[in-house]
Amino acid sequence: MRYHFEFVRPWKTWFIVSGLLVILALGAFFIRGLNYGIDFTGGTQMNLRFTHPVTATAIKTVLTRDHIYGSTVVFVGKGSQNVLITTPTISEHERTALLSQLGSKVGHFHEISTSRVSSIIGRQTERTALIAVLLAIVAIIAYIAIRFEWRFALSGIIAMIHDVIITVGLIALIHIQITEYFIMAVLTIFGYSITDKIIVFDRIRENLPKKKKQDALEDLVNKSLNQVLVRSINTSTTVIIALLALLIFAGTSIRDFALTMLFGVIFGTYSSIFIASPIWLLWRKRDLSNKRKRTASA
Amino acid sequence: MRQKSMAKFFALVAVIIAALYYFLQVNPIAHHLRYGLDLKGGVTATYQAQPSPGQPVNKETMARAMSILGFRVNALGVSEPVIEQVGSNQITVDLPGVKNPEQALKFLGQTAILQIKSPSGHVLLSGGDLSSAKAGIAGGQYVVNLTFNAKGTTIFAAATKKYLGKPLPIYLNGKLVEAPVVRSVIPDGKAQLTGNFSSLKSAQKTALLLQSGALPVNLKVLDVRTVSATLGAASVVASKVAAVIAIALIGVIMVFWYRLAGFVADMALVIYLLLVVGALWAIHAVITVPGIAGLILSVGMAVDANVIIFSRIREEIINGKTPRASVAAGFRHAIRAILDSHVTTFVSSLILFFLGTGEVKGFALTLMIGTGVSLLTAVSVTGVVIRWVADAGWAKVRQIFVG
Repeated sequence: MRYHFEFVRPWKTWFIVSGLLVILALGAFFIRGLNYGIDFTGGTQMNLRFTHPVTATAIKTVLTRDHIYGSTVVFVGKGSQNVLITTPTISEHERTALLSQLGSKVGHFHEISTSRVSSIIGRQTERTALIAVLLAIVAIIAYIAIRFEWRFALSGIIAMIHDVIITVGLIALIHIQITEYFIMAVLTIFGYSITDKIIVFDRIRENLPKKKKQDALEDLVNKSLNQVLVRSINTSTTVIIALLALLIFAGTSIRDFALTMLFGVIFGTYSSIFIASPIWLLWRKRDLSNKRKRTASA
Repeated sequence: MRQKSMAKFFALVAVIIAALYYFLQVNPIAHHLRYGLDLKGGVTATYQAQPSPGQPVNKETMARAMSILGFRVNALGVSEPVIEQVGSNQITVDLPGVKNPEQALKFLGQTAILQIKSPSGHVLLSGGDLSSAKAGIAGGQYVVNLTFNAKGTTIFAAATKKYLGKPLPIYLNGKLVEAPVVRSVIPDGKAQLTGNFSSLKSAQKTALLLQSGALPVNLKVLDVRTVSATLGAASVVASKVAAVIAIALIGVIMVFWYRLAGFVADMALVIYLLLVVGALWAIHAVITVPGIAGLILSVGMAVDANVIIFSRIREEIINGKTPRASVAAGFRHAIRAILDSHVTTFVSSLILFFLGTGEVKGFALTLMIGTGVSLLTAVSVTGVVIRWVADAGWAKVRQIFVG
């Protein structure tokens, strides 16, 4: 071994760092809130590409004249030609009137896409995804408990939930608009994080039978983490590079997805080593000392 | 042994190159895979079924509503439409390449209830008694020619006999259209709806609605998403460029880290990609943006499997084992972790597939396929080829694995 890092003994430091991040994330989530898009709020969204640059003020003037309030006007990409107009739910008639007004008052445009969305679908997807995830978590806990032991299962799930909370909190903080794709990104993080924890735990599981009685459990975990470190760095680097490629080159909807994933991969890799493993270690040590106390008193 | 392993290795490289060449010639990604409307453009609508008088929303009425929608969609001449029930009371309709979505959706959800009543207002015949309805021209007017089925013909014959010389009013959607006076007994079950059709097209539309039958439940449009084909194409091109760059970078990095072993990983990844595309094509999967997300995760897992195998082999070599012993021991250790991580992900995606709705299903499907293929290629390609490499004696050079 050419290197040897001390991962588990300073666990208090990692727990404080993560605790602060979780508090920050929950704060962002509850105070700032998620920037729900029309998939969740319902409404009409029009993506228009004008032939000449236009101003948001000109568009907003038309919206106000048509008595359509509470709308947002956002420019997409470079220049000010491609516009995303989001309005509350309006009728087809109102929409046609608005478009002809925009054509005569603001400028000639090409309609790229229109969504008239009710909030029911998005909420439904969110709810069914949540139920499915809860069941998947139960299945994962059962599987890890059988193949490893139940303490690994619960430590892994706790760390995974930590990753998801921090990622969702960061998304709330930078206020990216939440579309249905966001649910997929969270599901992907969930999968990546659990996979990563299993790989790390596998090393501890493999080394456990080799442990001699006088060896400290901390040393065994530390050795395992050092062994798996190269793999963790290499794998997360490749995934991060792939995500950066998506972030730089792909379209807008994929870009938000890639950014969310990027946070998830970073925290998922971090928490396997710095959170999940120490939780397992502390838990196992406590159970062992309880058992010893019980045998001593008996 | 040594020559044989070398020969096998080069044979596999040749096969992969041939397969890649064939793949690029056929280009199934462009020509054979099916894409969702979020990628190729079109309109997706979701209808919410609401009970109409005397017709509750249940399995039977939903099935009837879906078959009627299917009939009408076909009449629109849309290619590759998708009509699916979502949950217990919603229906989604995918119409690729439809130009005027609002008009099309209005037509699809329309009800056309035909009723022929007795002079006293008693319903004698309804749309369900029709066997066909066709538009035509008669006496310089646009008409719909109605033909009743066997039961309808009998009733109609009896009615024309009973009410000879009296009017038989015809109602469409509860509105009186006309009340022709019966001039003779009609035994062949044929009638004509003259209405006031302004054009042949409007007569055709009514004929079609009558022909497809009345929707048993009311359909309310919940949700409409229109994506123009240009946006779809642009996002496909951008994503393709990103994917090609990402895959090329991963390939280069693997060779940089693991040298010859990295090249073996690249071979495994190429086979992985060919198999995944093949599987998606074979089951006629519809590729959507969430589906691509599932693929990205599974590519990550496939790369990870290779990284885990090589990291373990490298460790064994550093610990002083011979290359062949290292490959055997490293692979044995690695595969347990790979198996556990893949099974967990596979089980999770299975649950998501069966419980999730809409886009979650697409995500879960590609993830399931990707995870299965990843495990397969890790064992049968990386595991086998890396043994050939060790047997061929190349791995005697420690640098190959140690880097």
